[in-house]
Amino acid sequence: MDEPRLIQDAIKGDLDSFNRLVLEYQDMAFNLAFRMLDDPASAEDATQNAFISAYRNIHTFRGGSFRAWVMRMVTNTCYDELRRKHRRPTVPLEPASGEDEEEIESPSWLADDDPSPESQIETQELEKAIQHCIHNLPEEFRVVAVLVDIQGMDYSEVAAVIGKPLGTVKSRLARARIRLRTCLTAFRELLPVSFRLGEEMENQ
Amino acid sequence: MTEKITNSEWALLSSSLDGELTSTEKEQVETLLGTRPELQRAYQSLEGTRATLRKAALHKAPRNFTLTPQMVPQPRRGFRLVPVLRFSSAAVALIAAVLFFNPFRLLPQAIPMAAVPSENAAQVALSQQDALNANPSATPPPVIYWGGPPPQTKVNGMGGASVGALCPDGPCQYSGIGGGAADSPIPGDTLRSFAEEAPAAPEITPTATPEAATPTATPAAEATLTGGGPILGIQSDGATSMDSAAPEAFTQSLPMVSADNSLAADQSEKIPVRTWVAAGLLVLALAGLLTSFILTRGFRS
Repeated sequence: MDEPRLIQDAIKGDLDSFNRLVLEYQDMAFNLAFRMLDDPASAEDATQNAFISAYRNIHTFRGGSFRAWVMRMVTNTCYDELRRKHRRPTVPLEPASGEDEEEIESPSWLADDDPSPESQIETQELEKAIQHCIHNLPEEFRVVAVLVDIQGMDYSEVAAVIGKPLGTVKSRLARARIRLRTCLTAFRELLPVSFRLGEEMENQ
Repeated sequence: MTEKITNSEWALLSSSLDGELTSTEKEQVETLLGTRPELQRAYQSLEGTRATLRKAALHKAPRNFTLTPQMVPQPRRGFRLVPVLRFSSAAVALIAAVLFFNPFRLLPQAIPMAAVPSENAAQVALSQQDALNANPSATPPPVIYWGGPPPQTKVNGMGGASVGALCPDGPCQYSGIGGGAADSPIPGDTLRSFAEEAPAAPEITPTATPEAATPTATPAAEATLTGGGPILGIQSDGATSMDSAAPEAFTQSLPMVSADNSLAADQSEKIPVRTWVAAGLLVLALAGLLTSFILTRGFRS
């Protein structure tokens, strides 16, 4: 993929070129949105809005890492969505009838009907624990932890995404990791053995 | 002894995991890890946390997020009119406000206050002129002379020539009251030389002074005042006989008052015109604003 040429064509208004860039980065964008918003539907909307915003503002792209620029769009869209949720919090959908309390506590209607293989159970438990801990992070720590530790971006790209100096990225990442370490320790018994953190965590 | 780990040390350890340290920082971290066991345990815990996070699933997009032309419509040409309309409306409204609350209105405001006496004076003069023309034999108003009887000679003007003096172009009609020399002929060349040696007086043009300029109802009429007495506009007894014969000889035109009157009339006409223009511009600004609002609503819908 000739990314610079696609970018130039997209700047000139070529939607097909831009869509090829979308296909390249949509997984990463959706993953970041999902980690930030902790809701697949909201993450979908945020991802779509972020790409629309990126296309409308692609003329402001001044070179550098296009991936970081797109992730910045996604991050800003997620921040907008989080602010909107803070202003107008939504009530989770529950069964209208309150007769069966047990169904509310362990809602079978929310369970995934697809049968999960035994090998995926550990991963699912780990995934839930990680998502829970990430979601409990402050927003500015959350985005740094997701971009570095889950997306695998380097510090300079993350600095471009959040628009902060490199030192801020280092500091926020360290504090995010400390909080995640503490949070994951609480899930130690739930985590699969292969994912359990060492005994040194308990001594900290 | 276990020391508390500072934030900077946590940041060093965390960056060390990702290899984002300078050579100096690397040496510093190695020294810290070799000398402080609690830092080594912290480093291992961070390493485990990072490894755990790296195991997290990378959620794939549930669908394609490619854009369609309907999602990103090209801005319509008319949409560009909206900011132009808004800007022009603001500019027109500003101009209207400046016209309406013009600071230069201080001058026209001062003129009418000072112009009332002048207007009255012009009207008095015109009424006197009309009365004189209509009935020349009417009894003139009494004139009081101070310091003795009225002079029996010709009506004395304000010039410098004495009674009976000869002017360059012939006998002077008006003898001076003050400054007049004995009745001796003055050679025309002498007067001419004085006139040539005298510095040229600055040309006085009618200007709009607060004392003179005034709006008046008869701007085009050139007011004239008559009378040769010591009081301007009132005829003396001695001058009455002469004035009755030839009143035009003592008629003094007042171009100054006339010019001021015309200027004041212009001012009185400009103020309402400016107000009307300001009101028109205000209406124009409102129309532009309304149009931009309608266009914006139309594009959004």
